[in-house]
Amino acid sequence: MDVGGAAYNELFDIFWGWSIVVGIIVFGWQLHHSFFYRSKDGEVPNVDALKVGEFPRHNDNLQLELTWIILPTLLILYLTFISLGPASDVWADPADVGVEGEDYFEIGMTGQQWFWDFDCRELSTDLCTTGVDEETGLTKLIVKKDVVYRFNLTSEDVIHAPFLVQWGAKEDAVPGLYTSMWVTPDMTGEFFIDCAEFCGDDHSYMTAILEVHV
Amino acid sequence: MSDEYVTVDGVREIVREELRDHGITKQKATPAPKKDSHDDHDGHHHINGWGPHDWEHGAPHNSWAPIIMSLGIGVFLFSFASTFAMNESMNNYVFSAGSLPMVFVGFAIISAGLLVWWRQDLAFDGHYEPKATGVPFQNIDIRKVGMWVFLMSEMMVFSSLFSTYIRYRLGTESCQVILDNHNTYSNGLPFSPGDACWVPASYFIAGSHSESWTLSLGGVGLPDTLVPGAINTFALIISSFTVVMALKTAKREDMTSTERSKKVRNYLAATWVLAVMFLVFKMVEWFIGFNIGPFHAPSLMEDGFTIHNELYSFAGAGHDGGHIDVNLRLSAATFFVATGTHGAHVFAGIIGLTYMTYKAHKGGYNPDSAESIEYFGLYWHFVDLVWVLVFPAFYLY
Amino acid sequence: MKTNKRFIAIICLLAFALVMAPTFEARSGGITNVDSGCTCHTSTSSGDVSPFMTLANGSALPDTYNANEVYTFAFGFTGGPGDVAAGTQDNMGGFNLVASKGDLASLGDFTTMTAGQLTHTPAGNDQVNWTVEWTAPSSGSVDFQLTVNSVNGDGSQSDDDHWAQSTFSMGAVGGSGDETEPADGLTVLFSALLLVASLLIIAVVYVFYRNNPSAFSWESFKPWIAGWLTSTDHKKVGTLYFVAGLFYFVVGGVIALLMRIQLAVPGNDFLTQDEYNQFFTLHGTVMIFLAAMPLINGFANWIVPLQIGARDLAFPRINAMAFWLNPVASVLILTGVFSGNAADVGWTGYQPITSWPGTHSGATFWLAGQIMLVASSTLAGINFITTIATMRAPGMGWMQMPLFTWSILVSVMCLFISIPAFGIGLIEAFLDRTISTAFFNTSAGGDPVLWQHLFWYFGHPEVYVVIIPAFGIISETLATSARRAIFGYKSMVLAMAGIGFVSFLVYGHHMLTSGMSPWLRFVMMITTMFVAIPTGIKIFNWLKTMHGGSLVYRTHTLWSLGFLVTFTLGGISGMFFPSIAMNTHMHETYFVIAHFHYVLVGGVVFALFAAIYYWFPKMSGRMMDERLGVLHFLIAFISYNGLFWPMHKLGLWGMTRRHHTYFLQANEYSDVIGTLPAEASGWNMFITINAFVFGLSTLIMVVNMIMTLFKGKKAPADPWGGWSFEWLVSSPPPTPSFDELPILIDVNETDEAKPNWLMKLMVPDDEEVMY
Repeated sequence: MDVGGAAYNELFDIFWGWSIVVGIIVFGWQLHHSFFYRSKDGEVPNVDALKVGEFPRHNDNLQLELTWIILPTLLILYLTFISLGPASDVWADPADVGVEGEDYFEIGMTGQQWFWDFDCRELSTDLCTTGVDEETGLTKLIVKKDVVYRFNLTSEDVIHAPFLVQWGAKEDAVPGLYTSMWVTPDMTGEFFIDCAEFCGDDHSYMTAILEVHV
Repeated sequence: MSDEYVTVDGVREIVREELRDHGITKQKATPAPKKDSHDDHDGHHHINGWGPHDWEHGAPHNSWAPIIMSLGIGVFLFSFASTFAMNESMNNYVFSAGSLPMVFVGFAIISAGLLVWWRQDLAFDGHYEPKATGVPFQNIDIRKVGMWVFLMSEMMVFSSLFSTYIRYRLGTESCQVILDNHNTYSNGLPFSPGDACWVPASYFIAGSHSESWTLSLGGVGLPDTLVPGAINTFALIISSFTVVMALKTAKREDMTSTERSKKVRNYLAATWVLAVMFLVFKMVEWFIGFNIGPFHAPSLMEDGFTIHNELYSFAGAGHDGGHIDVNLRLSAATFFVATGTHGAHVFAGIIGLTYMTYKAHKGGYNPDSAESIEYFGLYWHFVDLVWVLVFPAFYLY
Repeated sequence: MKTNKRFIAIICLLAFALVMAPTFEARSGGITNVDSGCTCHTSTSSGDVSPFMTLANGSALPDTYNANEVYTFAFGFTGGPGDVAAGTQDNMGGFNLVASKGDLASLGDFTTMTAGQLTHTPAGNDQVNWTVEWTAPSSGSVDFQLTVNSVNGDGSQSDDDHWAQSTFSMGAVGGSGDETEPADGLTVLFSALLLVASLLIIAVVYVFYRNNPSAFSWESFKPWIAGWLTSTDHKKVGTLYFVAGLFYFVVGGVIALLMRIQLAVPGNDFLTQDEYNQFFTLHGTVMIFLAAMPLINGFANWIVPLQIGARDLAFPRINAMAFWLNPVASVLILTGVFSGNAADVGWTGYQPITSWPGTHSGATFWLAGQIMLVASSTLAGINFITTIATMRAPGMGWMQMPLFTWSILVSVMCLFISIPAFGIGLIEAFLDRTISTAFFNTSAGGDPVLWQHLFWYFGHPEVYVVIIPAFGIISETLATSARRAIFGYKSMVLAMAGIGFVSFLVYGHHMLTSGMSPWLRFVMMITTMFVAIPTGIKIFNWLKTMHGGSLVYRTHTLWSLGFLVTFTLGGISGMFFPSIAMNTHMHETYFVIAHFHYVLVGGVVFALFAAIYYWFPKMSGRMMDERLGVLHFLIAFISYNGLFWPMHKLGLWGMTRRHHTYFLQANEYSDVIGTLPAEASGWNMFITINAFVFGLSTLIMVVNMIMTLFKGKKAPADPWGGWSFEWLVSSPPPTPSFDELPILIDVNETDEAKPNWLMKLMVPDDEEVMY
């Protein structure tokens, strides 16, 4: 199943790979020590000879400790670095994307208890059509494939958050505030827009349908 | 361990001797526990949890005060929430008079708990003052450290209130600017009646809005509505001084104990009066207003500066006859809650002062136990200091 | 003799209460008179509008219906401004119809189904009556709730616009269907609470009885119970914290199990959506504030003064006060449950929904309860910081404190600095909900994101407040089990302090999709990444501690090793969130749920279990049964992973949290196109089964503890071979714990050649001290 969008999937694979590396090191180490240093009575060897009321002799090794400060730091710097780039996918700079109305198109999206309201503004019906799904009675937005859309989000009452699972897009719709969400639909079909921020009684059923055509 | 070093027990003995030399272990160890007595778990006689407490035995081992006070706070909050409930339109409250008596019952229970606490404390004469043993606080009273730690948290309380204030003050467009821009926000959006913008409290208190500038001191004008706040500032500063005088007097050994008690009591009573005066003037400024001699100042309530006012006719400065209808609920809520929290701290101080004045009257403060006044004083200076920040931020700016 | 009779009577009364408990019905009216009705066009409800509902032929609704038959209803209203010139004006009426059972279906262009409810279309706006088709269910009585509004049609809201609401009911044929109705979730919870409370009372009486069977009378019970209610002794208060924490751990657990039943299959209706919303709110609040923190406070109360060689905490009465605020606050937090009006806003209490009129009145009391808990935490904070700073035994400098004490100090510092912000936020929200101030009222200019800042400024340190003591516990148990000094004591302390410090800089990662400034989000992303470094240091140090040791497998050893596994997994999954491109997908999904349960259950709860097995002998003077302990660990560890591991996958598939149910891609339960693949249903069932196994396995520990109290072997002063002061005194410790202040000897200080930590940074550490 294809979810999350390209940037997410690319990052996830890298993070997942490093997680396995870290997991193998930590759990391998732990597994070995848990069995290798097992002792029946705890007396042999009793290296530090702990005694009540005596602060034990320091058990440390600066080189080792620095090693596991520096190595994780390097890994984290790397992971932070590769995360920085895709962040601009999430909040694309209009200057980079191009001209509004030509290179990207804005759609208004308003959350209300408990449905989504779309506003196509002056966009042509090919680019954006709103409607109501016959079968379910849910509001529906029909957009075109491979077009860059910027959803301008706000809310009438409480905080909502549209969640487009297929593209891993999510942003809070806050009353009294305009937020934006960039989506480039690259699949055709009917998709589900969910509400991800708890918004009251019918939160679970606050859904809408996104239809993408060629 | 190598043989060259002294044995561990040897080191312990040396340390113990050193401590004895420095007098650190001088505080009396409580008697060893008696064995196998069920009603007597902690080894010495069960002291009445209602007080008064015999401080010869160390700190109280039993007290009814905590559980009673907790119950009272619970009853108070519960009945307060039952009495006042936000209405459907979120612009006023629904008042249920039936629950109101329970609010006072809550207060009564809290007071009962406090009385128990004080009854236990009244006998405290400084004989049992726990001292710190850990570095870097050796030989400092533990209570003193505790008070400073408490003030750290108080600091965060007021920081949070100021954060709220700064967020809204700097993040909300000023009504004056909108009026100057001919009823548009700076981003060009039209302003419609009932929209929110910021009218600072100082507009009502210290601004030219205040109708009469009668109090002229050599050409320096002071708006009437600022008078209560100005008096309050001095009242608090003076009360910080009187509390220090109370401490200084209590520490004096050159007078008889009756004479000293009387003086300490008088200083504390003066502090009490100044604190009460502070709250009274606050009520005048918020609700009552005054009209005495040459001074005519309406209260903030009369001016329409209330947390429920959605359509205040804002005339601003320099617009003859022009005005916009603004929603000033947010600025009012921020002002009343921030200054109200400070007022609540003053009120808490008054409660403490009431007890201390009584204790001073009973001769409870002598050079040995004067520190209690010092620790209250720390709190009181803090409340004073906060006012020094609140006053310019909310009343003048 | 006479007093014994009285006791028998009390126990009979309790038994009666237990039997009666399931018959209690949750009151639906609520506590206050706040009625959240229709706010469609105006806030004025009026009697002169009267809704009606009949069969399509005009005859009244029948008393009963036939199963699965299709009915056509006509409904609408009379009266109000909309009635004046029927059919001539636009936009005069509107309605909303909900059926508790069966399926409503729209007929014609005037009505439409939205989110399970029937409402009017824009075209239906100019009608005063409508028709609808309804398919009857197979059993059970059914209620139709009809809300109508009648307006004058001038397009704006005015005072003569009115609305009204009515309920119409029909019973099933024969009425036998009622018996198969699922249990009312709130009734279940209420019964469970009452049951546990009654058991608690019985347990208290029984403990008293076992204490001294011959003195079982009111006269001796009174001082005994008064001793517990008024005690300021740190050990007694610790025990109280401990009992309260365990009690609410059970309450929170029961709530979680009820939610898991609801989620076991898609489209389940075991809980209504309303109940589910209350349950996840209370589960979060109860588990964090009423279970985890009191349990940690219990251990802190018990162990910290013993570890630093103090006779008691610095302010014993304030300590008692901090405890007693807890049970009262817990009653306030749970108040709404009994009337079916508990807080339904999520434990984060996001604004403006918390200040929304539609939110249950219980939310006000929930806020009030939390204000009390803030006060409690502040008082406890004063106490612990002062105690640790001033009352350490001679010879114990800052760098000779046992790591558990260090962890409590760091965690209390974090809490102490952060919680006032939360308290102020709560007071603002409380005033919004009571006297209607406008802090979070967006129409008056309030900012909902301000609450998120105030909350998460506290909320993020808060999760470290509960996890850092867990670090301290594991540092103690693992080192003692391995018979070694902890590896890298100083780096452990610095790592803990570092985590505490960083916790204030990273809170924004909870708000990466909140509409906060993107620049702030970048900053928070980078700082969050760096949390991994001190945490990594701790994990590697623990592993290295085992090196060269002699690891004795006891129950607390198993839990510590289990902690290392689950906490590492939780830590790794935590690394996925700060990366913003991934966060937008994972935020508010079950991946988050899986992550924080891996750190809060696999971290905090596992560490607390380790602490229970480790320190229980010290507290009670009896050794716990190791075989039952191992059994508990094995069952719990396996079912725990079965419970939370699949949630990662569900989250990645896009299953969002706080949802009463979930939608599979095209299936028989829902006609909407859902998100989740079909196997999500099976995994959810798997999770639910594991949840029950995990929940029930905890009972093994409780049984173990109770059996130990009565039958356990006597514990020696130092059963595990630890070095800190709590093992110096007998088990259980006397009161006061120390007749003479103990003196700590630092073995390193007698070794004068050993350079200090700072020196070692500059001088190569070339030789290990040989023994």
